[in-house]
Amino acid sequence: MKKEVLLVDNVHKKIKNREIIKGISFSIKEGDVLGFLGPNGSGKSTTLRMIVGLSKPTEGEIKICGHSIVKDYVKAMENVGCIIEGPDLYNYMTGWDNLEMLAAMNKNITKDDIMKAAEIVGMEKHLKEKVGTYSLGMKQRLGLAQALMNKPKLLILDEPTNGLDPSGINEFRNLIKKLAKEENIAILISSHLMSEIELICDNVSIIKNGTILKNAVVEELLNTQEIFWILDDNKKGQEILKDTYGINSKINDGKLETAIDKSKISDINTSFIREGLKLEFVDNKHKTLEDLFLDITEE
Amino acid sequence: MFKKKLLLVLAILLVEIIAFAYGENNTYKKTIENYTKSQSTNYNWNPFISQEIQNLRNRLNYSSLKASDKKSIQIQIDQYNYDLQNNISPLGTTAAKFTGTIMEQSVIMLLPLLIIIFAGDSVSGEFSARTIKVLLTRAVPRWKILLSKFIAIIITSAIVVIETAFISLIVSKITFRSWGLMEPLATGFKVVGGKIDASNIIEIYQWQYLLLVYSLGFFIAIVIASISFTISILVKNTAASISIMMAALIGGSILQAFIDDWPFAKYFFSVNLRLPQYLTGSFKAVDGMNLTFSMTVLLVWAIVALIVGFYTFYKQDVLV
Amino acid sequence: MLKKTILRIITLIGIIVIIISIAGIITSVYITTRPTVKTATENKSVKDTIKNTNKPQSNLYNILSMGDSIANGTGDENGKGFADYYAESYKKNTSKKVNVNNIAVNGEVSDGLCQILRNKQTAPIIEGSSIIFISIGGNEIKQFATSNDTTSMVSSNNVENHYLSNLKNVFKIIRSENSNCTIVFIGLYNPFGDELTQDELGLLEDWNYETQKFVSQDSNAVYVPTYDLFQYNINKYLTIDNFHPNSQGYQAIARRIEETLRFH
Repeated sequence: MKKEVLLVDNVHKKIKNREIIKGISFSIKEGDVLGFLGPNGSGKSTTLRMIVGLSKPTEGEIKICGHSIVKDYVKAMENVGCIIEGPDLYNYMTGWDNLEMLAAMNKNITKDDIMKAAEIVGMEKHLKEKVGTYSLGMKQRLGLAQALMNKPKLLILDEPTNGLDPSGINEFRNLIKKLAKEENIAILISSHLMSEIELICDNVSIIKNGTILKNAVVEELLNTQEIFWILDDNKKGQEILKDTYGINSKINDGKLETAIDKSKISDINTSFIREGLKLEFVDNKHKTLEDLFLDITEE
Repeated sequence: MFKKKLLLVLAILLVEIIAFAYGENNTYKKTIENYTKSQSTNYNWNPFISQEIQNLRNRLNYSSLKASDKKSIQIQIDQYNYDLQNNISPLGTTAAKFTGTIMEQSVIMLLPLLIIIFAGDSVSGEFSARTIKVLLTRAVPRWKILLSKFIAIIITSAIVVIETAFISLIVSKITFRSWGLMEPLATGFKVVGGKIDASNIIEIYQWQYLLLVYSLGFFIAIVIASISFTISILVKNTAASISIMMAALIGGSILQAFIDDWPFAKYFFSVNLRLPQYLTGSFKAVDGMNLTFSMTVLLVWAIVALIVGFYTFYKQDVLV
Repeated sequence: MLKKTILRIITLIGIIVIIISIAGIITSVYITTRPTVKTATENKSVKDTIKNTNKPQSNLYNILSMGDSIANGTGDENGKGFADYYAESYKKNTSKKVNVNNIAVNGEVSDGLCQILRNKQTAPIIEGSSIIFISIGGNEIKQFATSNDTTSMVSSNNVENHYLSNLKNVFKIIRSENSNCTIVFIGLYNPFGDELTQDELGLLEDWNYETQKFVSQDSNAVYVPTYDLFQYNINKYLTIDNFHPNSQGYQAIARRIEETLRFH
């Protein structure tokens, strides 16, 4: 049984008599990667801030590794590393000084821990330079190092790939997956980049207007996708689908589209070819997480 | 950032103190010049001092002298004797006197300004640069973080006070030549019934006076730091917090004029900053205002400010 | 490492300052609030130091100088004043022992002089004096030289009247204790030269005139003017503060007093 690292239970947040978070609940187990998805103003950042203690919930509970963030702040935060809408580090100090100063606030972090964290993100060669001279990508990486120094069980990342170039994003993605799988760290990512969440996260929570619309496993969401064929005679294909498999389909733009489970594709392909159809192209109609997201949030 | 502020404070102190020293020296030189021009002799202060000492000794012998007058005359005689023995002009000044004057004058506005440069930015700066987020998301309770910032401000204030003393001493030693640390002076004035009462004065040396005055200066520094620190927490903007504090200080200067007629004016903190003047007896006596009163008012302001500051910081949602 | 040691030194300095300051603050509060220490020996010592001046003995000539800084001799490089110079020249022509007593106070005004005279302890000195020099009023009239206020005309009258009434009291007290001594009142001069306006000069003249009028009512008192003495000579007769006379100035005043009293 994987241990529960983060529990968010019926959390509400009122600001000046307006409720902006209306009862959010979710949880993350160790080694899981949860994506937080939502339009601007949906309450993602507010929720993340409540989890790390920058804001306080007006109702509800937040527990990290069993410790309440309100009642047992220090013990809870010992297990957390985070980047909140940042990274905002001290520009006039060097990378190393920043890390060292922040590490000094926690008695348990050694110099080795700091170096290791810097190496994990690939910043060990730039630590002597002032943070003000870093590129945005370097700042993001140093921000991640700062979050990793105390060997956290929960990593909270608010828009972490902002400003990274494609190779940087790729590296980041691999790093996150490694941290989750090898170090068993639970990770909560909030991002606008659907493609990234799609590739990095195991689960996703979709937020709109302060409530969670859907909690789902990414794989499952992505699996109910549409398949399309391009045959030399789409109409015949449509008939075969209807008659042999009882599946309704439509012809759009020269493509034969239908929604089925991936597992059935090979059988259907074989049937098409047996009936003499020429199979030119078969693929997922990429209903991405983005399309899904737009669909769900427009309901 | 801290280094830059420290350099700025150093620069301000140097400029102000050198200007003040130059000004005093200039006035002294001009006075001597005028005398020499009109009298066609050089200004020789030894006979002047000798005459004054004689006058005062005469006065000591005659009646209708209260004990307090006797004491103050005796102290004046000691002062003149010291000037005589150390070849110090009674119209001029010494390093020790100058250093004391600098703190007496700065304590109302210059010293607070220097402190505000640090304290006003302490928390605001973190909010503006948004580094407050990375500072607070540690396994350390909020109050500890705030306390460590405050302690840093206190130590900085101590450095500023010491710097003021050093720069004054060195600049004035170069300008006025004599240290004057053992020169006697009178202190121990009280306010009784709206008037200055000198019945209990004692004689102390300039160096002891300097220690007292600079201690009071440090006290003022801490009080200003506390209030400024809290304002910094409340407005989260450096320019605003510095402006608010400066406005309060200037308001205090204006309120000075109303103290007699408006009893509540004397409870405002910036009206009670003239602590060194209670020691020298050169202040406008207001009934009820003495050193203990002023210090109590300032202490209350500082403690209330800190309580408000810490509580607000604890409750605040960090939204930057 | 360097950074750490600098930090440690700064913290140490800070702590030292804090400790010294706490001590300084406590001392300051103590100094300004300790209860008045009453000396039992106070009364005794004052009595001791009063010279035997109860009755003027025939071989003693006691000169008493009272009033403000001019009576005190402030500004004289030799440490004397007109009273001392007068005493020196008087000594040459007499076999009596000449004493100079001085109860003048720098910055004194006529109110203060009255108070000093009312004090029981001055009575014996007055009783035993052969001649009394008074210089007072300069500090009260001085304020009108430096103010540019046109409404000061009304207040100047008030101040002058107040001064004259005090002068009356001064003479009353002196005469009640000593009816025989000569009283010499030293008039006011103008130390400001051309800086005074016509109105201000007029005020000074009127002040001196009214004083002279009053003094002449006492049969054994004389008013000695200094206005004319100093009029053309302020460059040579004033000391470094351009207000008080210097040695030459005081000697000039003393000479004038001698001249006035030569055959008295």
